[in-house]
Amino acid sequence: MNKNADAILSLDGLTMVFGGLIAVNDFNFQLQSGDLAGLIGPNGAGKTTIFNMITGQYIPTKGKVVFVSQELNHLPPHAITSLGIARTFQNIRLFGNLSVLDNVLVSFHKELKKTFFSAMWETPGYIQQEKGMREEGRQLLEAVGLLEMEKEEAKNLPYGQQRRLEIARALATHPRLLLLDEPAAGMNPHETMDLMSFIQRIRKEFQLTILLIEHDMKVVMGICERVAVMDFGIKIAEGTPNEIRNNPKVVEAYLGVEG
Amino acid sequence: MGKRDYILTAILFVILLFGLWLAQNYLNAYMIRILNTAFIYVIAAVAYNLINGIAGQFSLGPNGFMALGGYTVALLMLPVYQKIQVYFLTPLIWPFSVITFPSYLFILSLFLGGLIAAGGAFLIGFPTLRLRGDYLAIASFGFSEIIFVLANNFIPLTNGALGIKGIPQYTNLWWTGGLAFLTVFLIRNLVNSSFGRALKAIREDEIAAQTMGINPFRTKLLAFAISGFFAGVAGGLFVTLISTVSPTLFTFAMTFNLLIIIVLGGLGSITGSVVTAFIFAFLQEILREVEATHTIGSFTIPGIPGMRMVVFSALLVVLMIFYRRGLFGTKELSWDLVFRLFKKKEPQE
Repeated sequence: MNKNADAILSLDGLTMVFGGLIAVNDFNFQLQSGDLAGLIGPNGAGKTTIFNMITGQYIPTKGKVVFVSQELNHLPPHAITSLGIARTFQNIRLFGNLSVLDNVLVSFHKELKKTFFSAMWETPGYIQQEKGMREEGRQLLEAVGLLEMEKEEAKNLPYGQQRRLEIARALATHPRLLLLDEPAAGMNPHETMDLMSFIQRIRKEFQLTILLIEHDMKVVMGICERVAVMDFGIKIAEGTPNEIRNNPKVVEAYLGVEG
Repeated sequence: MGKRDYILTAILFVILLFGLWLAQNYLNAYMIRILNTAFIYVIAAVAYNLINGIAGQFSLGPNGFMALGGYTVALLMLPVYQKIQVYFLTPLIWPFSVITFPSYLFILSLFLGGLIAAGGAFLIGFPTLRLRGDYLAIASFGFSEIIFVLANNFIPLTNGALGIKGIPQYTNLWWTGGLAFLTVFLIRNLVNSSFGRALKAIREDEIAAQTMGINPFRTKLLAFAISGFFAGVAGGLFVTLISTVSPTLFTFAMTFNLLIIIVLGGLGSITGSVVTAFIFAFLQEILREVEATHTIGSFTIPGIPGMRMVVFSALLVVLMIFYRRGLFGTKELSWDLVFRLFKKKEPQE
């Protein structure tokens, strides 16, 4: 039986070498449609590098990324986004001087069916589509609770809302798979609780498959159904949160070994 | 734009036409000339701001594109008998030696000049816009220098350093004013559209923009070609305004002037560029005063050619200290803003 058959994302032997440094070594992982999985590990374990390989920022040295039976290895990032993979960044990368609404609308640009010419002359067809985009953008902002901020510049939002906007912007690309890079970083416990229920809500509402990198164990243990643990570029464990918690290798990677 | 804004813009256009009519009939030739120059600066600066301010790609090439447009229009509009006179040392190459557009095709020649300039922009944008960073600045600067060298040395086409004289003076206030209005209208629409958002996103964070599904290369190339097109049109208008073209007309100084305009107006503000283009065109004339010879009492201060640029540079320094983001920043003058201003005033009155 082939367990890869209905995998939405499958990483086969992914390896990334920077000069003499092996950032990720022979990484294998599968995501089934609808999964909510976590990727954890100490700093510098290579987690973000894996995200960068999935989304096309890096071209893997070896191995391949397969998304719904299509190999992604040599596609540019924007083409990968069009296939249905969206991500957020560890260090928030919003379009700071653009309004909150515009930040979301940027993600719709790839679906624009009109030419620049009709945009310049504001043809009825273009105006129609622009209206549709704005409406959808507002709905999305409402869904993430940012509608009253739509005209604010993104850089003026408080930190927690910037994180939320980044997720909203990723959702606007109409993804099937959402990659979240440390969504709870820098949040206080209360904000983190909000975020956890937020993630679970959008997962249901948008029928997403989610893979997230997180250091906050409360988040990982609280919402992830499956967890992969990395250390020094190698996957050292994979399983349910409970299995991971009791895995001696994981404890060793996080706490060190005595003696 | 909403319906209200369309109506207001239409009204503004009518007012502009009326203003042009007044200017044409009641102003002296000198003032008309300054106004023409101002409108041409508006076109070139707004086009330049699209790539430098909106898309955030630092180009130094508008003088090259203006030269391409200017020479194209000159070659198309110059009457054949004039061509024989101008190219008396080295004959003009075919097919330009036999083509002359009748005056009613002036608009077509401007369009073709724009297309040729857009082609030039495409040519340098294609290899350099794939890269992130300042490659475009170097390549576009090199490109405009190449155009300068070609204009000087490809004598069968450009008549070399002698330039081309006697180009019919088709440009008048209707052309410059009308096309300036059209350019601002079209580029503002583009900037406010999905394409404009994509360009601004690239300016803010190219990697994030690409991750949101925008093809940065294609989007930047499009903006660069559009920018080149309107620069070409401005060059064509300029040439038919002063009825002559030579390589020194479109040197790097032209790019520098445009750069002053868009930086002072605010990188990324279309309406800012319009305002400063006018200020610049008029200041350039007013400041001729500082280059003239003055006599105060028994003292005679000799005029120093080039003093104007010193004043401009000083002005630029001062403005950069107090208004780092230019007069308008990235803000636009809009009807909304005008209404808000009036609304705020009402309760006080």
